[in-house]
Amino acid sequence: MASPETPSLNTEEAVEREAPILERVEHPRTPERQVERALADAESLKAEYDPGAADAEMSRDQSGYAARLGMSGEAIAEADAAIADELSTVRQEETGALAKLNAKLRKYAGAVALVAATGSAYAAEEAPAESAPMVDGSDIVETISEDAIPKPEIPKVFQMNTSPSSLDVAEASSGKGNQESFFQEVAKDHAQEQSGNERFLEQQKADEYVERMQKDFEQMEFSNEEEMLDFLREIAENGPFEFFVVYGMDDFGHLKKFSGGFGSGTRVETDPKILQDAKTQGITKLTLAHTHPNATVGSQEVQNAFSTEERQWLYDRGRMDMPPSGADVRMTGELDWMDYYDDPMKFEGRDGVETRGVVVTSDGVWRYRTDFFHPAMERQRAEVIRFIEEDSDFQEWKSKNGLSDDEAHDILRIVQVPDNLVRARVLTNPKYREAFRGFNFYNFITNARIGTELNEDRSQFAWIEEQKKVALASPEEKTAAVEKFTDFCKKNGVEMWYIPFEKQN
Amino acid sequence: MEPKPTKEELEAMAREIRVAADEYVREMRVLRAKRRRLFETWANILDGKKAEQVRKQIYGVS
Repeated sequence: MASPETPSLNTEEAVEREAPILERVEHPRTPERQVERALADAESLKAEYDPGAADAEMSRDQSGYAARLGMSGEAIAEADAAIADELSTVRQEETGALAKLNAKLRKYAGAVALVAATGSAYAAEEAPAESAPMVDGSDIVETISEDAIPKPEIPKVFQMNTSPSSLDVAEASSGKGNQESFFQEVAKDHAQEQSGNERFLEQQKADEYVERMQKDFEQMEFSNEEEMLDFLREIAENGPFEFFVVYGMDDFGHLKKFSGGFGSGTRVETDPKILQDAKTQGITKLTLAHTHPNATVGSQEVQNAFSTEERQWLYDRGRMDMPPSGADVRMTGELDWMDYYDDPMKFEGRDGVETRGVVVTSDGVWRYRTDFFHPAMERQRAEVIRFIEEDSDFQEWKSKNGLSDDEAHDILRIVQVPDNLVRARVLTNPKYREAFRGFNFYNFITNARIGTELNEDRSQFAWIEEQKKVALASPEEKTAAVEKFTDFCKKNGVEMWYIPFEKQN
Repeated sequence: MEPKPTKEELEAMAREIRVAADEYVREMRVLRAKRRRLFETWANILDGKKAEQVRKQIYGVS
């Protein structure tokens, strides 16, 4: 159990601390042998948890990671510098813990030496009645199997569907009585929050969705343009439908198609050349190639855009890992408004890169800017960010994670989306998962009612459906739909262009 | 010559050694967890550097 003076720990640390250390059963042995065995065990644990070994292991991991990324020199030095202070503290604490143990062991050194020199003077204790009979004397130390040790439950304080009872678990496992740790307070907040928020009950559904999206994402990755074009060609030749192709390029320059997965880190950016190539290669049935700043929405749109039959076709060919009855894995449709309020591209926008989405239909190309926000959302976002940044929890979280004001601010921008999506995104993105550990941001999200206003105005996002109709309608209907949609976009401050293809002879 | 510890003293000694060793392990586990977090922070920074590098390659700006 944690001692009362233990400082607040984050969840992972708390779990580590409370994890059972294998208990040793003292079978009957002389008191002298008990001391010897305790000493031997202590030495063994010292070796197992040697600070030097931890340092070496971390160094090896760092070298391996940097090598995999192909990074060296200055970048590594900067990363090293960023954690140097905290790592130094950890090292000092490790050394201090070892010194403390050594001091205790030294305290008994004289007695231990004396015992070793004089041998046993006392009789072995009687074995407890329930103990197993000893086989060969008194010097065997047995351990209870780990299965036999009641395991403390891991506090699930940061899970969205945490039941109130998990609070009890957290408190019980901390053993801190009335002194509440940070994470206990967070657990309480969560319990209160959740009691009035049924959306949290969709946790499991969200998890499944994320899992499928990620699987899909992995399966649909193309390693090069040719591979993607082959696939487009196959669809053009064999597909029973005109359909969307979603593809883009991730941070590492890999082309991805149907790039799904919350927080996959994909930056979808169309390369019009690829589409042009597809066209010149005779892929005339390529109806809609759609890139999107948010890979997740891309997948969502695939779901929206395809009929059940079409999804079945893809599914049968292993091209889509989502079940044909996609509705069961869809979220609420809140994703729709993410379409152009989405934020990952804002990071690029911040860097001065204008991002545009491109949608290619059989008739032409839609282009739209993606690095903007709806004014209403922008206002709400600013208010919420200010609200969060002024909160003491946020300050503590920022400090704990060693984030600068700018970095923390950027992360906050990510959370300006519906809470289920925030959770999914944040928790599946390694970059943010760690950063958010221990931060009770759900409260902020819910309290601020992010997106509510916009979600209620879902009608403005009917344009996906419009696109679908465009692909199926008569020329007149298409023209009307295009005009309607571009007008709608303009009214909402969205820059949108439609550029018809020139007819090919 | 130093008197030999009593049976009770020896038993208490064994217990204290075990308690000290267990406390050491607990502390070290917490510190290992901190190390892991530091490593992840470090890796994230490197990820960011890599992404920046790639963006430069693709877009010509960072």
